[in-house]
Parts: sequence; C-alpha cells; structure tokens
Amino acid sequence: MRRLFSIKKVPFCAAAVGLAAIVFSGFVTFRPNRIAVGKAVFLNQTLGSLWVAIVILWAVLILLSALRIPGRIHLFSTGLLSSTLILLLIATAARHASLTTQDAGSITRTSLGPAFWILLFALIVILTDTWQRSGKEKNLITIMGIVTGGILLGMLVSGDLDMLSIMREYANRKERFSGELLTHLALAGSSVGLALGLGIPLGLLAHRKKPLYTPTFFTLNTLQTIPSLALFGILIPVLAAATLRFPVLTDMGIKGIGAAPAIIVLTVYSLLPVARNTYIGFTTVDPAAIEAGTGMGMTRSQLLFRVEIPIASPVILNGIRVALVQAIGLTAVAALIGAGGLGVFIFQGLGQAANDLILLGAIPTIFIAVVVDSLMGGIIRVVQPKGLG
Amino acid sequence: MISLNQVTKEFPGKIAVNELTFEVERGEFCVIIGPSGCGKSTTLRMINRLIPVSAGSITLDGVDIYNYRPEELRRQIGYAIQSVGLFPHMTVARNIGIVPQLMNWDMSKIRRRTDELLDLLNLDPGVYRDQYPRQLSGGEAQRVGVARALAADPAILLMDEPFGAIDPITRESLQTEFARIQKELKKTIVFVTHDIDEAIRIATRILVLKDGKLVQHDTPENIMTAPAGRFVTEFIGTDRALKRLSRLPAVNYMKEAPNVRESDPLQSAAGLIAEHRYLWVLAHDGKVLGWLDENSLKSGEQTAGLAMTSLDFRMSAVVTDSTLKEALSRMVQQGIRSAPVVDMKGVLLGEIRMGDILEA
Repeated sequence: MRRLFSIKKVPFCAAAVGLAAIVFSGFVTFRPNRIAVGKAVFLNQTLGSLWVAIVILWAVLILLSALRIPGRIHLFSTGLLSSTLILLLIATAARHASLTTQDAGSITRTSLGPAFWILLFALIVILTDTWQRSGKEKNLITIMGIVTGGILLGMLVSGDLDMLSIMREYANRKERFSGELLTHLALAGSSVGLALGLGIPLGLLAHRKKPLYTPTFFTLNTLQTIPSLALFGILIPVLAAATLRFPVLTDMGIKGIGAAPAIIVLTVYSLLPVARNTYIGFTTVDPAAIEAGTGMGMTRSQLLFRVEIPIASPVILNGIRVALVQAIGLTAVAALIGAGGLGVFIFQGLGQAANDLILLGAIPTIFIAVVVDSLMGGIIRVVQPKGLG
Repeated sequence: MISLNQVTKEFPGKIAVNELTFEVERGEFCVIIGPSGCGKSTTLRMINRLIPVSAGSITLDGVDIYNYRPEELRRQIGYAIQSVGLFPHMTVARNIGIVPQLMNWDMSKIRRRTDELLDLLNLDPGVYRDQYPRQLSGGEAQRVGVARALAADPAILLMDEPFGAIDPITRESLQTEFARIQKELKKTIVFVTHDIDEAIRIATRILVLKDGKLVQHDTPENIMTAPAGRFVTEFIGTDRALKRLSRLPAVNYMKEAPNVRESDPLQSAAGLIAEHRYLWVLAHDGKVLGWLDENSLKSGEQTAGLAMTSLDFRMSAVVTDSTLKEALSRMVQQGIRSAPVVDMKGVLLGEIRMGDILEA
C-alpha cells in the first residue's frame, strides 16, 4: 500500500472538496427571468454531455493526488489536467446556458452556481500548488497557464460563452464596460502614481530624519484604519466647501463627488505601503556601507543612486505591488461617489439584486488585481540585485 | 605628510579631541592607540572630513584639507573600517573598482587594477572577482575592504581597526601580510586600534591618546623602553619586555652553531662537545636532525647519527623570519636553552641562545 499511494495533501483536499461540491450543490442556477429566484441545476443535470468528462477527469485528479508518481510526470499531468478541467467547467456551463436558452426562451437566465465556483477555486488552488512545487519546471507550468488563458480568451471572443447570464449582462453594457474598465485603471493607476511621488520621498525623509518617523507613520497608519466608505463620505462636504471658497478648483474640474475625491482617497490609502516599504528598504542598507562609501569619496547622490536605491528597490517595489493591488480593489468602492470604474456594475447589481451584474464588476476587478500582482512579482524577480537575498 | 595643528573636536557636552598636534611623515605607519572613547576614531575621521574639526587645522603636504571639496579630498585617501561596509549588491570586483570608476578610469584599466589588488591581498582573482560579499568569510571581506581602500592608489590610507572583527589567528596573518604589503607600497598610513600587540607588531610610530589628549608619540621601541608615565606603562601591560621582543628579528641575534654530520664518527665530536657542551647533528644536505651532549658520548654508538637525541625542526627550530618573541616561546615550550635557526627546508643557518635573548 505504502508503495502505491502517496497523498499530496493540498491537491487531495482541494479535489475532495470539489467532489463534495459536485454532489451537494448546484453547478449552475436557472432563473426564469433576470431577477427571479433561481433553481439549482446539478452537474449531472446539465444539458449536453460534457459533464461526463468533468466527472471522469475529476476522478483522475483525485487519483493523481493520491498515487505515488514520479515528480515531473506528476507535476505535468496535474497541471495539464487542472487546466483542461477549468476550460471544461466553463464550456459545460456555457453549453448548458445556450441549450437552455434555445429550449426555454431568451428571457431565461443561466448563472454560474456554487459547485462551479468551488470547483474552479479548487482547480486554482491545485494549479498554484503545482506551480509552487514545480521548481525547475516552473516555466512549463507557467506556459500551460498562459495557453489556458489564451483558449479562455478565444472562447470569450468567439461568443461561445454569450448565453451565460454574466455575458448577457455584459452584452447589454458593452460600451459602458470598456469605458468603466479604462476609468478603473486610470483611477487606480494615477493614485498609485501620485502615492509614489509622495510616498517615496516621505519614506526616505523618515529614514534620513529619524524625528519625522513617528509623526509620519502615525498619520499614515491612522488614515489607513479609516474605513474607505467613511473617508469617501468625509471628502464630499470638504471638497464641496473648498470649491465654494476657491472657485478656481471648479474650473479645474474638482467637485465634491467624482474623480477628485476618489483619487485623493486612493492616494491616501496607497501612501502607507509605499512610504513604509521605502523606509524599510532604506533601513536594510548597512550603515557601514554608507560610511565606507562616504569615506571613499562618493557624493550623497552617488550613494543614493548606486548603493541605497539598488539595495532598497526590491522592498520598495513590493510596497508598490501591495499599493497597486489594494488600489485596484478599493477603486471599486469609488463608484459610490460617482467616480466610475468597475464598481459601477457592482453597485448597480446590488441595487437590482442582479448577482451576475455584480460579478461583471467583481470578476474583472479580481482578474486585474491578480494579473498586476503577478506582473509585479515578475518585475521584482528581474530587478532584484544578484548579491542580495 | 599629514599634519595636525591644535586640532580640537567638541561634541555637545564633551571634548572628544583636545588641541591635538602631531605629524605623520610620508611612508610612515602611524598607529593611534588608546582606550575606547579616547578620541582615536574621531581623530582619524577628521582627517578625511567625515567629522568636521571644531578648531585647529589639518594639512596634507601643506594644503589645508578644507581647501578641497570633501569628495575630492576623500578620493586621494584610502579608507578601511572594521565593519568593512562592502556593497552587498556588487561583486568583489565592482566593490574594489568603485573609486576608480568614480574617477572615470577606463574599464580595462579598472579590471587590471582589481586583479592586481586581489593578487596583492592573496585572493585568487579567478575565484573571487565575481563573488558577492555574502559569499565571503570575515577575513576575506576584510581583505577586499583593504583592496578597495587601495584601489585608486592613494598616497594616504586611513584604517579604523580594519582587522578588529576577525578571529585572532586570521588577524595575525593579516597583520603580517599587511606589514609586507606596506613594505612594498610605502603608503602613509594612519591606523587606529585598541590592541597594543597589533600596534607594536606593525607600527613605525605609535601615538598614545587619552581623553582626547596626546600622551606619547614615539617609535614602538621607545614607547616600550621609556613609557611616558603610568598610563602608558599600564596600557602596554606588565609583559612589555616580551612585547618588545616581538619587534626584534631573531636572525639579528643568531650565532654560529657547532655541528657535525650524522655519518661522522662519534669520537670526532668529543672535542667540540667538551668545548660547547652540545653539538647539532646535520644530515648530508645540512638539515638539522638532532643534537649531541656528554651523555651521548657514553652511548657507545659508532656514529653521531646513532648516538644523537633527535629533534623535529618544525617543533624546535626557529625559522629565519621569526621574531625573538617567537624564538623564546619555542625554547620555553621545548625546555631548551638554545635553538637552531633554519631556513624553510630545515637547513641549519645558526643558533640562538637564551642568554642572548635575555640581554637583547
């Protein structure tokens, strides 16, 4: 027995949870119309016969996670299987949706159900785990992920998924969606940009002049603890009053609601991770290196650009990474004060009790955050000086 | 020539250096020594303006150091410190080449200079050039630190306990090596330490500081034979006679050593033994094998080689570049009153006697 089985905890648990989800919860939800109460449709009840493939492959996945198989083959097969399963899940749901619409009319809606999400989540956990354990094979698994993403994009563009409720919400707001997406990126990007301009000098200053450390970080920490909704709220009357007092602000397009307060709040929240990591990054520089450098005749700016910044840069970049991911998420809330962004769909969806509309705002937000996070991770790995870490 | 004139450094509530006046001649190895807090590091750091002077003046070859821009001044002065301060994100070669790079040397010249310095400090360039500081041991890092200080070939070197943070054995070999390097390079060196043995071993002049004031400035020999007052006497310690021996090369006290070959008949040695009380026995190539005395004569053996008491020259002999202190240490260890002096191969050159050491 010992020779045959070797349970890999993470994939095994994830696969087991997925199995339970298949048995106990609906794979998709059927609604007679957009906002009616839904009815669960289990995986084996889905139309089209793709679900059979899911069940079979899921069984293989559980086996794979429990059998003793040589490392490389295991990594490769698990990666391939999970990627295939992700595509199959989406294809099954989409196929069921289009068949249902044909049978029961175009007013009906098919949304993704709990089992779908749990399975998808389980597969992502397995893929991440595989990627982390893959060592030298990392590139192979990464390529697999990129290919999967490409196929998914193909399905999206080709219209295969169009009958899913979330895609029908999208179809109704095509123009609006790309606009809000750009607004979202612009809001998050410009606030983090501003936070860099302010936070990096602030962190450096706190490092250079120790008495400034406590007031600076006390303020930034306190600001960070204020709930974002409250901060957005506070700014509306403050900015409104300011524009009354200084009409020039109005000419600049600043109002109590809209982009101005959103950017201010997002910048404030981004300041802490940027400034704190800048501070920490600079403190990791050995004072002896600074003394030796100064003693050898390096100027302040030579020390800053040739010694301090290169040594501090990985930590600072990590701060920017945190700020970016956080800002992308928080920008969704900014829709509440009329700043636009993907949050618009979330709040509309909440108002109309239309879950799929909420998802239309939420899923792209999560997706952008994940992509930006891994991009930054890649950049940090490239930039990291070789002698460190 | 470095010249300090009435230099004072006052920190809030404390005078660290008090009207200090001294000169360091070109090519001199000046060691500033004193207990912690005596102002020795402060003095050193005023010379390259890491710390501004409160009063008085410092000149290099007659030019006031405040006539230079600080960077300009520092680039003509090498600087090495106890904590080394290598840049962790740069390779050993780039660390060493930093000052030449600031001075816009061309790349091939920097590379040649780097390899030359690695060789000088006994680090194989092929091995160490592309390593990062975190891959180095403490001793290797110190060597790189010294190489970096020497990179732009400054006439003056300031060193603040550069061998302070390494184990005693490595430290001693670095001191010896650095003394050799200094003989070759003839830099003007100001070296701060609190280790009197180190000062005596490497200095051409020692400057003793106490509470920011100069107590004595003289050669190591004079400081040991005529310490100025109780403070210096106590600082040198009760073993100052021994310390002084570490300045004296053993070969200067070497005498001719009576000897026979191992194949010589024992009887032929009798006359020499009667005269000298003992004889060294050598192999045909001159290597020391052992010794004979009156007792050996009674052994009844035919040749000197069979009758001798053998010795291992690695244990009992004194090699040519030893100091008298080392010679004495060998004799005490082996319980002998006279030790053979040999070259690296063990060939007898002469002998050194306890009595001569005691009179030295």
